[in-house]
Amino acid sequence: MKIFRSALGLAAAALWAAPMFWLGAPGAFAQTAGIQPVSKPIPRTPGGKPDFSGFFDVQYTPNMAMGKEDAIPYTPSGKAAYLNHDAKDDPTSNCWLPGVPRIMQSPYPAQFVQTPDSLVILFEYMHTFRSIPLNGRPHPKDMEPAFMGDSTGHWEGDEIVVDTVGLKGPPWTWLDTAGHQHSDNLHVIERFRRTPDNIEYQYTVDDSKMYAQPWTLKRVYTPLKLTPALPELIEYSCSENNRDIPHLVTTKPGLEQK
Amino acid sequence: MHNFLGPFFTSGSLAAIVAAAVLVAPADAQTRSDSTQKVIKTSSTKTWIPTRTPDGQPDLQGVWTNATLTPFERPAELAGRATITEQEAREIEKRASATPADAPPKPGDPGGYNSQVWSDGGSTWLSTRQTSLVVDPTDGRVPVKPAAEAKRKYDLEHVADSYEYHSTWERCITRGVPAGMFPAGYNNAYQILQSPGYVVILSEMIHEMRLIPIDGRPHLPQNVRQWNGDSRGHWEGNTLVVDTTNYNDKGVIATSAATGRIKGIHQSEALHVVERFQRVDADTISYEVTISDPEIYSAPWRVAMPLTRDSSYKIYEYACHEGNLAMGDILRGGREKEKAEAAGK
Repeated sequence: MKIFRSALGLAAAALWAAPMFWLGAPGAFAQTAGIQPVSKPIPRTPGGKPDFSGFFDVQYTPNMAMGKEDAIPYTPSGKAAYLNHDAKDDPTSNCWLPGVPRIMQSPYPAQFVQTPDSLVILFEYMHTFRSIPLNGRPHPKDMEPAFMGDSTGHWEGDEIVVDTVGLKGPPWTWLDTAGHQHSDNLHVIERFRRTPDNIEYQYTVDDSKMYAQPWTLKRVYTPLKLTPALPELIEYSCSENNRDIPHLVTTKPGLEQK
Repeated sequence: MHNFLGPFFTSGSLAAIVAAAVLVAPADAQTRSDSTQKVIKTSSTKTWIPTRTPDGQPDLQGVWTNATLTPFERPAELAGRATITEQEAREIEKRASATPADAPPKPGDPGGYNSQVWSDGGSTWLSTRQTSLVVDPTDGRVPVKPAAEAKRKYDLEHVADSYEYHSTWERCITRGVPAGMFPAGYNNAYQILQSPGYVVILSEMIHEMRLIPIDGRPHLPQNVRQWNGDSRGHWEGNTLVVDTTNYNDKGVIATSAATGRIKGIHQSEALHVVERFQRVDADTISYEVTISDPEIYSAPWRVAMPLTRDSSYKIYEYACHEGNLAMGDILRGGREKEKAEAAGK
């Protein structure tokens, strides 16, 4: 098992009083910034904040293990939940909202809209949106769990940090297409950092029922050019002619298809 | 929360309002001569210097609502009247708030939403006192062609035969454009955001978004068709004008029971929708939409209503498919009925 850490990771880990496991790219934000030409500034809003607005490829991540399944710090029940999942039960087959972080790693593009008060992300996937306030307001107390939970954001220097709780547990949402599971105890911490050319996106899964320690991925969202004769976000109509569900077959060996 | 039964809900409160409207005293001659257009204009000619976004757009941002007691089309009882009086409006609101408890469902009727469980269709008449959301034609009635009405009637009679006879809302596909802006029994909230080159409208129901480019680009080619068409915006002075074309021919112009006989009227690929958003004061956007579809209507028609700012409104996550069992149950009910009828022969 290979564990990557960074200055940022250690700082973040202090917040959660647990070491931080990195899966995927080992480079911390600061290292990536170092390879950029110093002269090229990051885009900024008229108010001086880094500008995340634009049309981006949210890097498709169907399997958050990214080839390092052994590195995922499962609890025994988290491991069992993953081993026992059945791909035919993928909740998104029902056109349910994919949850956080799954919505952030779809194969379809997203439009980021930033105002002084909020970061709004419009997704082609599921034709849906996240509206994240940037005033750091607290989470509601005793909220009704929601597919997309409750997200609250704030600025830490030039980074937007988004904290999400209130997410539904199984069977409503999965972490990813590969079937990594989470509980209703899931807490997601996302950090958005604008570089001159991209958005660096770091997200941490904190779910003590399923994972012994928080674990973190870093992805890069790259700007997309508009395809001629197509809109930014093509209408994704999940329910239109959705006949899949009765035809999905089990992926669990030894089980008959129901 | 899941609101699938909503589109099927026949508004008891709306019926009560129409009944109440019958009972109010006739308006004086002066009110009768008012055109609704004049009433709408009155509210939009106030001197309001709009604040601007950092990129210079008149600022429409915020959370807006449009729940209202005002009916979509003008009830027969109010024929010939573009507006009601202030006193009549208060009277109707009073009667609506005193609506008695809903009768319990009949045996065999699974029931639906009612005023005790939950509905949030508004408790006030529009401030313009117009007698219908439809303001053009001046009779407040949508000029639907008979063939389009017949198609709607056929669909309604066959809802137990196929999901395709249900509206796009019941199918959780979309509330539609402009149907998504028409008031319904609940979840009447919209968040408008602006960023350079775009206006964005987030709708509480059914957790939908519209990304409207305002950079002057042309419409999509005619071969690209979508349920919600293709919207392009531009500013005419302080008014945002949004032009929508490129619809597919599978949608409907209105999806809520609150739109009465217009709910479920089909649209053709020729549908052309022009919306106008003008902020007329800090807390009001004047919203108008003109709908043209020559296959469906004998003339273009227009809806106008204020959108009211409500910063305290909390937009909830509308999860249309959560526990969405009604469609399957309706179709299964249809098959059971067929079996029972066959057995009875």
